[in-house]
Amino acid sequence: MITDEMLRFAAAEADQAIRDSLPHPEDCHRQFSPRFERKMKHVIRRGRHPVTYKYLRRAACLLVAVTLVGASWLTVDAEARGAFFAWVRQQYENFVEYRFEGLAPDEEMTTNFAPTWLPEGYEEYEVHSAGGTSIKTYRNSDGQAIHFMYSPGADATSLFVVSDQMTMEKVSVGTQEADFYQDADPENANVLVWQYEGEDILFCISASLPRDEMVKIAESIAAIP
Amino acid sequence: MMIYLQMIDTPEDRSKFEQLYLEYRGLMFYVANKILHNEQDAEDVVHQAFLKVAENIEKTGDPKCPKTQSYIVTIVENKAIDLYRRRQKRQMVELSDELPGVSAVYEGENTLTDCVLKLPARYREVILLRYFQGYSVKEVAAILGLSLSAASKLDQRAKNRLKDLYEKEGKL
Repeated sequence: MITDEMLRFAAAEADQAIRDSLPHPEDCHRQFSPRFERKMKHVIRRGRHPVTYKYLRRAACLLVAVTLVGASWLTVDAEARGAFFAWVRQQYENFVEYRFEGLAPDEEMTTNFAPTWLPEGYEEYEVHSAGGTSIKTYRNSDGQAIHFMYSPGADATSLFVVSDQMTMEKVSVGTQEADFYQDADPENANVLVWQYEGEDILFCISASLPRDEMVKIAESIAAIP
Repeated sequence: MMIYLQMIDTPEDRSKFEQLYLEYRGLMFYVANKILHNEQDAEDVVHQAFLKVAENIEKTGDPKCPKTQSYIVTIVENKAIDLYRRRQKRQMVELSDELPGVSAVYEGENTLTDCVLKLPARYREVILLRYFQGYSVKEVAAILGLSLSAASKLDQRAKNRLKDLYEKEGKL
């Protein structure tokens, strides 16, 4: 029998062997490409200033960012405001904010949601959850991704749809009205946002897929055990 | 295209992230390039690994600590193998758990240590995260970007494979 103590000892020894087999970090010199330096500068700058926009500063606790070539989502914790529950849409120059207005109940949402239909070849790839907000990524064998996100109003979050060039049209997801954002560049992701019927949960799908397929995915969303 | 959770919200964590970046980016590139043999892909992997580090910054120890170095190497190795698997597309998907990662030379006499080092990278990473770094299965799921059930299965498969290897050495 392999005990946990044996495993801990072996893991420590194995780890030491791996580190001994690698060069010392200070000896690893690499002239990184300007492209890499730019990307990392962006990550570090965002670390220094987690919330770029001044009017979002109140919401610096949790920042969830999904950058999809040209379109991105950012969700941030926001203070509960007002005495009613609703997701309020606000249009800015180059992004749209969906902000939850209301007092959060004490109980955290425990229901999980997932699409029951996806275009052929897509499988679950990644799941990130924090405080009731969840982002699920599905990929196909070509590396194309569908991102599905939901956030309960109880989390008092804001969802941001960001793109340099997008057009919005109203569509229907079942009986619910939804906002479909079409990116001007067909290579970039489109975004569909709607509120769950009778609930305070905001849903969002982002993918490089045509409107009708995204609506079909949205209509298949169901609570899962 | 990238996806990440960013939770760097204190000055200490931001400073820690920048120290990690300066300390380990060269080593991370070395590890990624050893697996991918492609400099541009290796840089992409280093970038993705840093996003994962940022996402789990509160789980990261002192930047100079050897344990932190191991954690960073595990993440970049995992990301490199992910990319390698995607590059190979369908025919290799079934074999993705079998891919070797960073190679190591062990001259000690502990058979179990030797077996851990013989594990495919995916399994070795889980064993090291669980039994050297001390993370729970839930934390391993977050670090490796897996669902909890996928991480539990991977953890079990890793232990089963380790047991098989150990048995083959006549130790059980």
